[in-house]
Amino acid sequence: MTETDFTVIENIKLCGDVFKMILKTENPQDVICGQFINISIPCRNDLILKRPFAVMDSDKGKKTVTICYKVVGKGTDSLSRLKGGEVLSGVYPLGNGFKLDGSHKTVLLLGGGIGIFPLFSVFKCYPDKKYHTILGFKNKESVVLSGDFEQFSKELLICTDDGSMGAKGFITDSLKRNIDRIKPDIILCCGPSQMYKPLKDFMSGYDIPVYVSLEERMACGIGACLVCNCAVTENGKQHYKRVCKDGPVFNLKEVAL
Amino acid sequence: MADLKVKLCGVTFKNPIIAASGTFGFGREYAEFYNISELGGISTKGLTLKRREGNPPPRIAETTSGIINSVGLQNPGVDAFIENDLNWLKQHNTVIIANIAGDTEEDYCKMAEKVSAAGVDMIELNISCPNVKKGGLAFGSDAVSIKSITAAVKQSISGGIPLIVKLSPNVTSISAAAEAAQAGGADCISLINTIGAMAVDIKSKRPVLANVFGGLSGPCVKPVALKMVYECSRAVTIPIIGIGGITCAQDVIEFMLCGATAVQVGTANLSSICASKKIIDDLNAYCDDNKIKITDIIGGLIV
Repeated sequence: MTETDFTVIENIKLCGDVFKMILKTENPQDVICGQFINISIPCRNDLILKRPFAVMDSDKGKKTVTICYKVVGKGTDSLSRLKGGEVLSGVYPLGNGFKLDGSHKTVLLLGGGIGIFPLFSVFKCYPDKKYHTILGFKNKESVVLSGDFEQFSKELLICTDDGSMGAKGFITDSLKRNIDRIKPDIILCCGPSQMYKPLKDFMSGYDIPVYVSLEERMACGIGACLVCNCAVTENGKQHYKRVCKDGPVFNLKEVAL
Repeated sequence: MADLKVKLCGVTFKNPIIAASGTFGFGREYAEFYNISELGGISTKGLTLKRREGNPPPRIAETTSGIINSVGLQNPGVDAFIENDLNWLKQHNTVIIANIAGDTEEDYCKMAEKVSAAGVDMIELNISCPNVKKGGLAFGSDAVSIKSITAAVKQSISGGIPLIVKLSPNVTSISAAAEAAQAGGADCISLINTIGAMAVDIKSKRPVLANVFGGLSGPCVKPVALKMVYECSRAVTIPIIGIGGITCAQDVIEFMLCGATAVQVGTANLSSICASKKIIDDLNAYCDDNKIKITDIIGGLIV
């Protein structure tokens, strides 16, 4: 882990409000898939907190870190206007990340909206797995990176809320139709928080581990300030864990929804 | 290397930079980034007699040049701190300040007994946390209760460990609060704690924080804090630790000119993990460049 400067190499619009940014650092680190980077917003003294983004790709040799983000507020709006050569401060790699072992041969990735970005990092970390991927988007216009996911997946299923591309409906609908055929050893998931409750309910009928990457308003990003907590249930007792340090990846079973 | 040493109530700090309570945990997370022995001191995460889970999320809202938090004193409890964290902290060459918060006067006294027996360098009385219903602020909002809680806790401390009383800015008169702490036997005061605040989400028409109210901190509170530190420095003779929106060496110098002997850096640690370390480096350069020692600055404001 380090706090270091990054230079913007590339900052391009993928579609709508979604951008891809490649950053370069002279202090590259090893990153586990699902970990994140907390970055400052340059030239905005009014925005004092760093912003957390999943590391979508990283290359220690090339000293690069790639993130994708959606413009949702002042911070991401300012980020989207950065040009190549501009410098920002970043802390990385943070959080626990997705962990797979030898028993996980068939992996099902479930990604909703901008939640697809952390999942992309899994392919490179664990290249020898058989991946089935289900990605959900609002509509055809908001579909991004489908080609990239297709390249690494044995099978890619797309669904959209309005049916304008792929199957109509939510990821959980697609999961219900396909899980018995895919027979995954593990499911890795990231998406809007409202999908986790139906997912948890449905998966309670299966003995398949499901790991989700959570999001919460964050500050330090290293586990000290305790502002980004989420409720978990352990041994029948509910308490808080830090999304930034104990997560962002949690076993869906223990997440209190 | 300039002389950055300051002395507070007989305790020597290698420099005037103290990590503020609630932004630094017990130091472990920051120790993964830099040597926390470089700090003048560390004020621990606010401790309570029993473990506290804190408030539900969201616990933070960013506002213009500031943040509003409502963590609600989540901590493992004073016994767990002593058992699991204090010895680790003691391995570092920095002043350890136990920040304690209670629901009742009895809680405060019990904790003061425990942490003084366990051996901390100083105790900071948190009577100004705006994020818990009972205790905290209830003790810090009027002069009579500030004096009586300070006196009671002072009696519970063994070994002559100095007592710092952390003052709330959410009062009518900060100098009256400072005088009350001094009258109760405080060895030092620290101020300001966060300012009561809230944030609203116009899309959901709901407060951003689950707790509705929180405490404002960060650069936006610095002018308020400077004024209050200056007012207190004229009202009391005990030393003052200045707190409020410090992000750089210049801010530290401003607080020291206004009468602070040392300062606490809080929110800046969240903006930049290595902020406190950089402030110390910059203070060192400032004193070298000006050929002064840090204590030359204290109370030097020309009015």
